[in-house]
Amino acid sequence: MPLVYDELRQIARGYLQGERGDHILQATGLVHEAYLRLVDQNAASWKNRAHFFGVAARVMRRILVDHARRARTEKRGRDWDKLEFDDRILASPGRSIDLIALDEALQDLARLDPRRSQIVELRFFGGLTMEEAGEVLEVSARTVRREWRLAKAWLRREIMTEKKHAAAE
Amino acid sequence: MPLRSDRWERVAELFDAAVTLAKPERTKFLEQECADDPELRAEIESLLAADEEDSEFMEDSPLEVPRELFAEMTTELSGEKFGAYRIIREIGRGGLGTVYLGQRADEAFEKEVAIKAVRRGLDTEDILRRFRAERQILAQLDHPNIARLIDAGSTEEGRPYFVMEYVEGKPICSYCETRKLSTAERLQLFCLVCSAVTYAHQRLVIHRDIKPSNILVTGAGVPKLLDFGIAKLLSADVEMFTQTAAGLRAMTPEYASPEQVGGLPITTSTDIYSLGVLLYELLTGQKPYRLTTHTQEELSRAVTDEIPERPSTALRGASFQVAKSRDLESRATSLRGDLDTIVLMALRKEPARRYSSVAQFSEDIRRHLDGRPVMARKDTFQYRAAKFVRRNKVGVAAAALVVLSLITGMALTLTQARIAREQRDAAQRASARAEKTSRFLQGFLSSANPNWYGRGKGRTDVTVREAIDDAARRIDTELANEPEVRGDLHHTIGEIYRVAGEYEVALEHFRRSLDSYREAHGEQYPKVAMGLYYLAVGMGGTDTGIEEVEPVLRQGIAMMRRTDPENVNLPYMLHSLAGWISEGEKRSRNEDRLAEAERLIFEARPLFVRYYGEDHSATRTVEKNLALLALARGDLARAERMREGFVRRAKEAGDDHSWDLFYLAEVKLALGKEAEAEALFEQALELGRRQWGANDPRLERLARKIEQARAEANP
Repeated sequence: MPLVYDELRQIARGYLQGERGDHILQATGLVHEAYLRLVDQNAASWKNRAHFFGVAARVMRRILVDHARRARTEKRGRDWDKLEFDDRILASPGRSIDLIALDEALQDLARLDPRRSQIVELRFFGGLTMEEAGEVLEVSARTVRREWRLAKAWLRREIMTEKKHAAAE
Repeated sequence: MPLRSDRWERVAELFDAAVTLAKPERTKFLEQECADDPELRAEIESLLAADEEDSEFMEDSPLEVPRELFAEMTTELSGEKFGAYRIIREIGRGGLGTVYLGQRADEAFEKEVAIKAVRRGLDTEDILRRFRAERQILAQLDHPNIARLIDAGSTEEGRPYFVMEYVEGKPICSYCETRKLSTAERLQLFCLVCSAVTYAHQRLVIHRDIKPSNILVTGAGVPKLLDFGIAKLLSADVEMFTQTAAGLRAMTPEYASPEQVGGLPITTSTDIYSLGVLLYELLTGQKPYRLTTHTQEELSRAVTDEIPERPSTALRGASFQVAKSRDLESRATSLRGDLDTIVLMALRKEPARRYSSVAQFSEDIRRHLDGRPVMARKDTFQYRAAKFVRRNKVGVAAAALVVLSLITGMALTLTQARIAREQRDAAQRASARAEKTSRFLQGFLSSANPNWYGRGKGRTDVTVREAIDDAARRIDTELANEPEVRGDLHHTIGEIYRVAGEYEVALEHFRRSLDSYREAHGEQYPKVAMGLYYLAVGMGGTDTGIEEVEPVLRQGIAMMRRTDPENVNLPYMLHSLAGWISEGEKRSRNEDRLAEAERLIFEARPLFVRYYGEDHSATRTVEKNLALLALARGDLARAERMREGFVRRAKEAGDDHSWDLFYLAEVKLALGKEAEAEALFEQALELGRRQWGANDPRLERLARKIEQARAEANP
């Protein structure tokens, strides 16, 4: 499964750049179809909004991390367009973060504290607010806020330590 | 160093507490709590340090736009208002639409309804037109045994939907089984279904998809026929008609008639056949054909070629297998004779040899119930002999058909059918063409999923890319008779290749898309105009010169203005032509040409604003063309000002602005500010390298453009 996400991202990116009217609809259809098919193979309906966001955040995590991984190792598609497109799917603020390192650290965190890692996934990769993340996890926004802080500190420390190790070697 | 998880809770507790304290208290607090555990204290302190170091860390999600995408998708799942109706949950999904269970939002008593809405992303003009047609068909049908249309409209975003009576009931076959209805009771129920179909036929509506899951029987014992989704007005144009007929895929294979399998015209007789299958199943609990492998070729062969076993024989066979039930045995006896003949007459291969109307079919059943002689006649021996000879010819045709249906992805249909059965089988097919497109797309998407279908079986590394390549190869053969669908698919696939950076391939698909649209619609049609536009877009990717692109665009614009001036592609076309002209006149500066470019931009802008609003990126790209135009006209001060604005804005927004730097440098060069220009070129390259990586083709292109600009400035 993960293999397809990278390409879906490309399709999605073409859509998101929103250059031309007509294909937007078609590409949207594609992306929808893809999500619906790939994320939920039984095509069963989502239980609710929260459930959907939970899975969507996971999908986005994969897409983004795969993207980062590939960007590191491989050539990317040519960009022909006159209109000076950028990679909007990876909008600027998150760019300073090493997504691959984050992903790995997050896997460690998941072993230690599954809920905190889920909070990170929802907040960071799913772009959810505290309230929404709380809705997904069925806890209060206050709990999310509190647990988020430790999760962040822990991840930051892990990533920095890892970097220092890598630099030392 | 991973921490032992049994300590984690303690760490969390202390961190949560400490983080709320001011610094001096923190130290005191930790001294107290970790007095004899320096390791724990170090752990907490390192976390607190990380917390303080950068409070902004991870506070911005890397994605903003996908969030919109999600939001759009979730409204589909809950909360979106369909007029006065609110969605409770999804109950089914078909090629074209989604069916929800809903209820009136404003009413005290909670009346449940079924809401059928065009799926987002599929609501292209063409499908909307078909959807409206379907709505009209349903509005005409007002019969106690047909699920009623209550309301219709479109959502705020312009998504059409209709609200139908929600039938709470069981599919007719399982209803009969659980209630253990007698043969006579089953026949009476069946006659009610016939009255609904007769009513529809009188209004020139064929159902085309009669099957047990489309007939629900309420607790009160009233059968309701659902889903006239693929029904077409008999008076509709012939072309559309036969196209639908060609698509067995729009049918549930087990209930398909020979003419549907064979791609022949569909008539009311098709419904008679499906009713025959239904009656067969109601009476015997079995389908007319004994299939062992359930492959498509076996089914096609059986439907076109095999004469079904008499219902009484089938039932008796079952009674031997299951239990020597007296009940079954006596039922079998009741079927022998009239009922065998009636059912087999409805199931004849040739439409002309079946009952001439549903009314006649159900009249014969009444005669049987009343003990009067029936009209149905058995197949004679002569007929069968003749048939046998003919059958060998049919065999050849059938074999050809099988090959055809195989390559048209029948395997998928079966997968789909299975999925459909798992859900409530309510949402289906309003348009054969939409269905075909959608299936084809679903086909390649699912073939990319290793857990799914066919070609990739056993492989875990099938990519979407491979699936797309595969689909691209299949379009022309599989959809030879479907120019419109071919056009859509070449277009879509062209877009995918373009986004993936395969411009030559993309161009070829755009070319074929245009050809297909021409084949379908001739020379004056919005889609042909759009095809021309995308041909131009494709050419733009392959360094084709303006002398080739311009006439294509002009032709497209002229056609679009004539055929569909409201089309959302029109401003893009105008804008694109303006861009080409401005770019081309950078040196020769033909004033007439530049004035035209300006007119085009001024024509395009309000259209963009109307479709997208002021802030949309599409609207903003207009400004970039104005800057290009200013440069071409020699209004360098203005060009410089605008370009500086773009760079500033991109920097502020944190966007990638390598190209903005380049275009600014180009203006600076024209102003003779060479040093500044060189500095900007360097910045652009540097940024590009950082942003895209040293080996990225975009970087090569940037470098090439810089060389060009330098050469043009110093000829």
